[in-house]
Formats: sequence, C-alpha cells, structure tokens
Amino acid sequence: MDRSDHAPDGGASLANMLAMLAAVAMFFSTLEYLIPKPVPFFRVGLANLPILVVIRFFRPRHVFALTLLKVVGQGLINGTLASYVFLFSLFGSLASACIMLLVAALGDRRVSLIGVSTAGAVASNIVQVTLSVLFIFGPSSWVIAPPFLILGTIAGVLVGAVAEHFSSYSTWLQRLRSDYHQLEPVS
Amino acid sequence: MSLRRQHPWMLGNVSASLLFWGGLMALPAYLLQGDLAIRLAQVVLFGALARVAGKRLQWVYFLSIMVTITVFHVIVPSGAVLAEIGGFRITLGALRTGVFKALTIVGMVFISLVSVRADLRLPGTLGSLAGKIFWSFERIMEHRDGMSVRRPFRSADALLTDVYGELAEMDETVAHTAGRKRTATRSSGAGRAAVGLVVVAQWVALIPVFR
Repeated sequence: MDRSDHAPDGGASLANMLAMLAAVAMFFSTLEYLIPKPVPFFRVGLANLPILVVIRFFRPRHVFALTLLKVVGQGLINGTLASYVFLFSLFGSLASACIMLLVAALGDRRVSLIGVSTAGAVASNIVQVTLSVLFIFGPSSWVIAPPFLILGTIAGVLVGAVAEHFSSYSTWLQRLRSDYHQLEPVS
Repeated sequence: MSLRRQHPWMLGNVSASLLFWGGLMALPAYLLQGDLAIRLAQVVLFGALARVAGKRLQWVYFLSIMVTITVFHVIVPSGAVLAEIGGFRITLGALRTGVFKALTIVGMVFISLVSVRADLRLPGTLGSLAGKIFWSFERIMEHRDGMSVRRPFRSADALLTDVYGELAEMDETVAHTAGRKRTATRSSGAGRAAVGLVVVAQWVALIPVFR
C-alpha cells in the first residue's frame, strides 16, 4: 500500500488493482453464497481466483493484502464478519496464501496453477476443520474431516484449472501485469 | 450488499455508521447472554432486522448449520436422558448446548448482516480503498447480465477490462458511496432512537442472567 497513491500511467495504481481484484473476489463470494453447500461452512473457493491469477507476479505482501481484502469481502457478503466463521476463514485463507506463495515460488513454472490451488485448498481446509472441531462442533465431529478435505481438494483442482485457463489469454490480466510491473519493477 | 432492497425508512433515517456502531455495541451483550429462550428471541429479532436491511437470508443454509452443530453436540451425552433411539441416547444437557451454540452463530451472522451497509465510510486510505472496492463490485454486478454463457471467460475478461479502465479514469469521488447513493449520512432522531432501543434491549436482557 506504500505506493498506492502514485498514478504513473493512465490512473493505474496499486489501490486500483487491489480494489478491482477484491471486487472480483466479492463477486465470486456472492455467486458462492447462492450455491447450496453439501457440508456446512464448505466453500468451493471461487473467491480465490483473483489471488491465483496474480500469485506469480504480485509481491508476497500484496498477495497477503489481497487475501485480507478477500476475507473481509467474504465476511461482508456472507454476513460472518462478527462471528467465529470469519476467524476460521481468515486463518484458513492466510495459511492457504502462505502455501500457495511457497509452491508458486519453489515450483516456478513446473507447477501449474492447478497444483498451486490444490495445495492452498488443502492447507486452508486443514486449518478450518481443526478450528471448527476445536471451537464449534466438538471432538466428535472429526468424522466430517475426510469428506470435507476430499471435497476441498476436488474444488481446489477445479478452481486451479479455471485460473490456469483464464490466465492463458486474459487481456485484463495482461494489462494488470504490465501496470503492476510499472509500479513495482521486477528486481 | 445492495442498497436497493433495504427499507426506505432505514436508508433515509439511519446512517451506515450508526448501524455499524449499533451492531458493535449490541454484540458484547449478545455474546454474554446465557438464556436459551432469550437467545432464540434475539436470533428472531436480528433475522427480521436483516430482512428489513434488505439482506437475502438463505434459510436452508442456516437450518443446515443449526442441525449439524446440534447433532454433533448430541453425540456426546451430558445430563438427563430425554430419549433413546437404538443404543443412542439424546441427553438434555447436550441438546441445550448444541442448540444454544448453533443459535449463537446464526445470530452473529444476522448481526453482521444488519450492521454493515454498502455505504459505510471508513476514514483514511482504507476508507478510500473500500470505496473503490464497492464501486468496482457494483459495476461488475450491474454488468453481469451482459456476460455470455457460451463464452464465459472471454465475456468476463471484456467486462473486467472495461471496469478496470473506468476505475483508472475515475478520481477519488468513487470512494464516496453515500454521496453516490443519496443515503443518510447523518441519522435522524427517530433513527437514533430505533437503533438505541435495539441496543439497550440487548443489555437489559442481561439483567436476569446476572441476578
């Protein structure tokens, strides 16, 4: 956010990029809110798409900023901002962002966005299942962990496939990348 | 987050910041409440207020949360046995804890839905960023019907390119949602009284708990 007020080219600024990506995450949260869920608290993870498509060129601090905006946006859409669910989502998303950044950095171009997304989904689901067992459902609910994790992994693969496909030709993403590199030159 | 479905009286008399602070003041009293009957009344009240605030409530979703949380608590027996199905005992203590916890979570979601409105203006850089996010979100929602089912990715890409271009050309006025939407930036006396009544009721309901 340190250079967000600079608008060097056609009004491009970090604030505009983050706002746009967070708005897309909110749009997907709205779509997800309307999808019936097989397991309570389960999410397909469509709102992760904006994070996935920029994870290879955004700096980690900006990925984390976007993750926080996504979580707050989800909280606003789902109305979970003042509940435990918000904290589960926050910790799950932060764990997911850490793992996705790690996999994207270590794997470089050998790991596709499907791999990055799947790793993030697994991390997020492990954290969220653990927290919900500890604070909401009680120890007897460990039985829901396997189906929750399996569904989460499948969703992660699908979201990753969508992100990979979209990234391959999106002109919006090309413009975003070019604007970002003007603001944050690659060292 | 749309303001279209919100009750016109609420939009004209209650500012977004009063709603936000009202929700924040009601929340501790809500969390301290330990009586099941009062908790149920609170959930009904905040559910009704969320509807007045124009929020869409997915009853099936809330019901599934209620049932799942309750069932998982009933698995671990505690207190008097109410019924026995096969070898499985349903106990009063476990049932009460499960229902109370489930209602608490659903009620918290309702409080959030009531307290946060799209024209809530936060100060500083974060406030400006929030305004831009809401502006972009509204633009995407307005133009989502223009997306093609046959070419979802290409049409989504075109939509995002347009909105991003518009955002880049706009100045900081996009951050002022209240101005754009002509919603109340200051609450009327009636609006303050209505929000105050709801908040005070939550704290008054704590009196029997602490007696």
